[in-house]
Amino acid sequence: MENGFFAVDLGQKNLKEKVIQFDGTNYSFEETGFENMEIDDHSGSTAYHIPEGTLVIYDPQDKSIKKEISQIPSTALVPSIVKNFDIPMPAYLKYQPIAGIN
Amino acid sequence: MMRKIILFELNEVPWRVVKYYCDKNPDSTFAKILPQCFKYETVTPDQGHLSPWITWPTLHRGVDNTKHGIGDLNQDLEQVNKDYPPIWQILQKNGIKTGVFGSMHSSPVPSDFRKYVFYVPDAFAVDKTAHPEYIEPFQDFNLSMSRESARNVSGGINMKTGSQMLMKVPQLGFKMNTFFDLGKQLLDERKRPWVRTRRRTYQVVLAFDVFMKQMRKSKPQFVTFFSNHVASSMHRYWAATFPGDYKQFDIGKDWVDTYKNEIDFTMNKFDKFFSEMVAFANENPDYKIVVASSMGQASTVAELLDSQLLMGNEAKFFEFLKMDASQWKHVPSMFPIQCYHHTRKGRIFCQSTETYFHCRTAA
Repeated sequence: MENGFFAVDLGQKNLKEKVIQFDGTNYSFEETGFENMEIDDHSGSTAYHIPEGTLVIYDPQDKSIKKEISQIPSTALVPSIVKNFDIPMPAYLKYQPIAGIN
Repeated sequence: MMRKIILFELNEVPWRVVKYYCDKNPDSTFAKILPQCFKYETVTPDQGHLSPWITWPTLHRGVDNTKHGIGDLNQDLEQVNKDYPPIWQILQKNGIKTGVFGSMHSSPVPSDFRKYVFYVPDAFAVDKTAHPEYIEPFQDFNLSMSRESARNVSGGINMKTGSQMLMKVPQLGFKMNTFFDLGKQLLDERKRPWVRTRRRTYQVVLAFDVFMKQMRKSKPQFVTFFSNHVASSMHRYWAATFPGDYKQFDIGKDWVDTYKNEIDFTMNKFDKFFSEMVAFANENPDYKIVVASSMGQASTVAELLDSQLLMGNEAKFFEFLKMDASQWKHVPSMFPIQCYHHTRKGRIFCQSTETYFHCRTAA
């Protein structure tokens, strides 16, 4: 960290050594402000993030059955919304129509 | 023809969970309506580690993280909001009646936040500021509960912020059914203390009532509503719901039996939200409902935890680093990441892995 923004990634699991090393010296958690918290439900992170997500569009004016699931980049949603409202499209946006919105 | 849009942000829910839920609950509104919906699998084009504070700005701004450069909660967005503004900012500045409720990186509030129909910043906001002002007691309660339940769910209720919120009930729009549901939850906690984990979900149940009151009142042209409640449950209880996903599974049957319905519980709450939105759109057919997740989740390692390292006393931490209170300021963030603004000269290196944390100082 240096002058500005500082982020620390904690959450270390089931630590066996109850010390923090700082400038080469060991300190207890209590001395350094850290806490090794017992987890009530013992849950870990048994799922992780993947790039594929969900997009579902309900239009009360079109209740026909639609079977297929197509794949689109998540960046396609914003330009389709901009187009829907008929306002100027920022130059950096790449418009591709999304059925259900356009 | 221009149509009004409700963008419901169902954080991180993949098609796997949607199909699982609809197959198991064919009488749910979501299962019944889904065949009528346009359906897509979105792919976030972001580079590197995926986090919701990266993938949502990608969806909201229409460019990936190599362009928007957003990688942390509460980082300075002044320049990126000019270069690649979020959709709500684009629409509001073009005269579209817009509302924002909890979307990622909607805090800090923009200077023109009172020009929005409503503006309730994300759960990482540094203060309770919201528009209209009478929503602020709700936001204050919501922020306090979020911070007290980062890893373990707090067993208490913040009475100060809770009582201030209750004084605004008529304006906020909480429904009687919500109070009955909350009462049932509190009774259930006395019989089965482990269901306290569901309190995370009740925060969004309350938020959704406030959101729908605003929708009915002002009928905006574009709105967002963010919910992390299913994502939170998937992270913790995926192994209980989908034990067959893992080659190595060392988790006991008792834990699986206790928590195997928690993803279903959160999806049931989403189904209630979806039902209400569908009813609203059917009554107001100029609306469309867009449900997006920005990315998904899948199984990782089936493991149970006894403990995790967290910041217990940050004043002591900075005292240890020989920094006085004027040199640092806590910035809200999502567990297990801790964020601060600071004015210290010199450098502190912190290196951490899943089992290791190490700091050193330098001139």
